[in-house]
Amino acid sequence: MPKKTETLNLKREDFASIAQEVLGRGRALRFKAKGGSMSPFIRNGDVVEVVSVNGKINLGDIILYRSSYGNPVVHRVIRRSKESVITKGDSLPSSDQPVLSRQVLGRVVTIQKNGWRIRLGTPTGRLLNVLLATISPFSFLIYPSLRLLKKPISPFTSNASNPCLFRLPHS
Amino acid sequence: MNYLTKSFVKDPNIVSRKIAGEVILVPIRNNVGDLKNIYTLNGVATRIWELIDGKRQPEDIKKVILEEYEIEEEEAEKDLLEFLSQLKEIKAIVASDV
Repeated sequence: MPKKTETLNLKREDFASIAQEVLGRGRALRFKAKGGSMSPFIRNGDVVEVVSVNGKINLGDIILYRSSYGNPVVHRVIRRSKESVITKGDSLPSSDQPVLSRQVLGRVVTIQKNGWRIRLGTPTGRLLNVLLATISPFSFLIYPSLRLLKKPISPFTSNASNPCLFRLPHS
Repeated sequence: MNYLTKSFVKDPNIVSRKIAGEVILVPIRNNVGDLKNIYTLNGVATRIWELIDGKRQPEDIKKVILEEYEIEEEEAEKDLLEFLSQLKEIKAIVASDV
């Protein structure tokens, strides 16, 4: 009998096939993101909503596409040309292989995380996308630094996981 | 509703995929296919799902199940009707006009 399930570890090709069918019908697709290549913007377990791409793909758009190996990938567009787009995971040091339009399944329009909903179709969302695409080549340097700053820093302790910036001299 | 004398078709707002011998159903609600709320069907349920084509009545489906599985007729009918009722509840099937 039908068994309802929230999480199903679909094989990558099955996920891509379902995504293609749902998006091909002009409907949106909502799913939990896996992996950390788009962290911190999209973290493992964040819920993303994807719609089919109508019209052109813009710089900064986060797209769902099939890689040349058939794997579904959600990465950001950092460059465009007539024939293809170049994507990159925000937290990765290098970009992906060029993505042809026939490989593109859809565009991420909403990200739900920690009770928040980020809408990427709004002017603010688009601006944020362009900004993140612009800094993307350096993102693998920037994001770890930001994480470091976010950690509570105590001047009285120093260890590898909680680095001390200002050490008091020992009395 | 007398399910035995009705034919059913798969609702167009359901995407189904057979994976490793089992069918998964992805309902599309409010124009969104939500992979966080999907349904999986076991072996017999998968076979019944395959047999739902808008032409076969549940009586015909029951006959196929009785041929293919070792199950008592009474139990097969009870399970089939319950399954169809559940599929209707989750809006996976609709009564056919045929």
